[in-house]
Amino acid sequence: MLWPSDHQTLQAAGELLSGAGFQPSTVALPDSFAATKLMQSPEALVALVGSDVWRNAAADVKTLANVLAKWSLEHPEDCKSCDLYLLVLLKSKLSPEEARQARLLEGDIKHVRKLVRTLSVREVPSQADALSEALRPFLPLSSIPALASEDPLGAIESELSGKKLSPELLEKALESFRSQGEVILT
Amino acid sequence: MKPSARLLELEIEGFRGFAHSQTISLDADAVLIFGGNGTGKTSLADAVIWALTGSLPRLDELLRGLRAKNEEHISNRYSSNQARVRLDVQLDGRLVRIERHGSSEGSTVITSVDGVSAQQEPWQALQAANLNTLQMAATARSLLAQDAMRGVLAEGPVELHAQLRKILGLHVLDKFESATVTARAKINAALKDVHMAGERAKDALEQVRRQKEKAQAEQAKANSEADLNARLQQTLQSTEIPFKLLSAELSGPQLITAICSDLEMMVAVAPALAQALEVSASTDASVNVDALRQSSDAAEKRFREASEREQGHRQLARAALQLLDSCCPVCQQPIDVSQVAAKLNEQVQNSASNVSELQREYNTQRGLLRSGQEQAERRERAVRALEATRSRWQQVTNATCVTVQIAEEPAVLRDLVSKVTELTKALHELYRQYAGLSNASDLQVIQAEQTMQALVGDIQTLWTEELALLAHSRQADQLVKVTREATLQVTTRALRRLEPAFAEIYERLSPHPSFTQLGMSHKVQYGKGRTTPLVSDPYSDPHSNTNKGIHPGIVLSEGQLSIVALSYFVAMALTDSTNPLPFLWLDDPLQSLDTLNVLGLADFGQRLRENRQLIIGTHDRRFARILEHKLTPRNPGQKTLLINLGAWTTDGPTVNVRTLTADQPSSLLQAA
Repeated sequence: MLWPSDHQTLQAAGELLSGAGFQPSTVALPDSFAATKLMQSPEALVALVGSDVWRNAAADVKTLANVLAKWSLEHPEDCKSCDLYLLVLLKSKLSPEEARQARLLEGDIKHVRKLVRTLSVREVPSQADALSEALRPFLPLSSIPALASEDPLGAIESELSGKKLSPELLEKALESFRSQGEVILT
Repeated sequence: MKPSARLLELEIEGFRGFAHSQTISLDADAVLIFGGNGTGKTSLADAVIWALTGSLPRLDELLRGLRAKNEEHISNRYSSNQARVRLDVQLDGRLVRIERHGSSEGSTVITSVDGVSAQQEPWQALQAANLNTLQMAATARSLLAQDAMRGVLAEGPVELHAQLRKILGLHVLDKFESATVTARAKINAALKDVHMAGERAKDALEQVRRQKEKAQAEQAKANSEADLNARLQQTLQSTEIPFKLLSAELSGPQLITAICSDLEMMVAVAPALAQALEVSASTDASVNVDALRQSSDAAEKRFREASEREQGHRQLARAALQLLDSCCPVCQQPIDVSQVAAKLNEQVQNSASNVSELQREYNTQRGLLRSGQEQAERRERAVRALEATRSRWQQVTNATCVTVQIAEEPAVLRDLVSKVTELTKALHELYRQYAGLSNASDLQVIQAEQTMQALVGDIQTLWTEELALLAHSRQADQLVKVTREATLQVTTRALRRLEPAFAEIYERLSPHPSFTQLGMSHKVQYGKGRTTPLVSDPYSDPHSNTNKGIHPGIVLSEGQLSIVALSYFVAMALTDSTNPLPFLWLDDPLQSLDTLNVLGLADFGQRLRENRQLIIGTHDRRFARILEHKLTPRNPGQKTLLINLGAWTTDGPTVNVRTLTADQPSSLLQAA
């Protein structure tokens, strides 16, 4: 396992969210949740929880969710239009039973939306990507490359010119298709 | 990236479910349309499509299979007016107004840019290349209809590949590929025709060759005199005519000709011979003319003598009567003059009677003589005629090659003539067959040779043509093959560029806890490009299909599949820089989605609105509330409209448009 500590992981996650317009939240959590990182945007208050294994996180998650819910109910003016999220970042793969428990947790959307994401089995160079994938819902859309507006026939001509095909035949086929809409080879 | 273009306003009248005029603002980066089933949510989307393209492919497709395919489906059923839709679009800071009037029969459109008539079709104003592009852009890349949503995945790999290619604007490759297949099919059809023509020519050549061989055999057979002589002997032997051949020099056709000539002469002579025989037979050979003449002469002599005596008696009686007196001059005895006169007259009468009798006898004898003489003369003529005809018969037969024993009885002769006539006919037929067959065979051989020459020429021409077409066919095969590979390469390249977008959107919506990655595989199989959607679990065994990718239909639920379809659709909509349409319209995409999916979609919607005007329609009140909450503006510059459709009557639905503000309660999750 090459993942850094929970603190470093959450620090990296916080930096990613900061880049997406989030700021560290001023909401005060009990001391037992000191390791939890809280980030806030106009739309969302996100609590980031890091853990090596599911069993360490499972019990804390429900308690933390209740704390956040209680806070939101007690401070409606501070979180008037934002939604509450609790994101668990795990560094090891879930067993089937753990996955079932995680799914049950995610299905409970009362007060707080819970998300469980696994960061395990990724190599070091991909750690940032794995973290980005886990934080997807809170990040802007990636810069999606536009489809090149290439001439399809030009592209096909370029492709075909590298094939085992007589250049004259190719020229005849494309020329007849461009001018008459049909391929004439004879 | 803030969207610089959006739909601003929609005015609908007499269109689909909207009878009365309704003006509906769409001027927001997020628009939520809520309404129960049948309240006009889809009609709004249809109105945009119709204004832009003049047609509704969704309904055109639906009506295509129906009997009433010309049924009006544009104009409102309860409005007497034609349908009218006005659509205002903000595009690069300019106001493009598109107003369309018409029905399913046809429509007219007026387009203006910043209030100036554009004299252009809307797609030109929208900088689209053509109607197909616009329709594609509008229907496939901007508006996700609820039924079409799953269609992408419901299709098989071949159809999905083709559909994606179409959506990506690469359908010209389909046409090119199809054109190469058509060209190959034409060449192959021509090749088949030429090949079949060649085969037919070969068959015909073989048939003619056999005919020629048969004709040659017939020719050889017919030309054989030995065969002819054998058949002649057979024919002659089969007759009952007592004849014998005299000529040893002639044979074959010459012999038949000679025999026939002889026989025909015999037949010609036969009537005369028959008559002669009949006459001869009818004359009495025992008549003795000399005896008759002697009898006649004797009768004549007796008659003459009696006549002379009768004459003497008459003179004597006449003289005696003159001298007779009543008494004898000598003795003076009385004489009975009358008695004496009576006696004298009696004696004269007796003498005259005797003469008459002798004369009759003489006449009879003379008649018998004349008859005998006539008979003798007739017989003599008959005998001469018979001798002459016999001589002619003998002359006819003896002079040539055949002789037939003459028949002396007319009946036998008639029978003989009949048989000769039949034999002549048989010989003529034999000769005709011989001559006819020979000629026919010669002609057949000549004709067969000519036909064979022509066929060989045809076969050579066809063979040359077939070789040329075969070469073309191989080239066409190669072209089709490499075109398929190339179109797959081009398509795959385009789709590969989309894959990160597919993956990102799918990850955002995260419909499945394990199958968290979405991709596609592309390949050519059985000559066709195939695209298969794949979901995978990156944390599973790297060698398992679960890790490599498996069709989402196998492992995902209906709702999760809808997320997959949505991922593909949105990714393509966002990556298509050529799409001139500035909106992303999801028409009731929430069916089959559970709350988690809807929450994911709502979160995603918050991101989508940053890239493109987002319009979502739903009939589900609970989801509408989630979306209302999620799409409520949180940031400066954001604007959300809530269009509430309800209480549909024949006039149309009631339309209530409300602008959502940031001042919303945060009780959404509690409510959910």
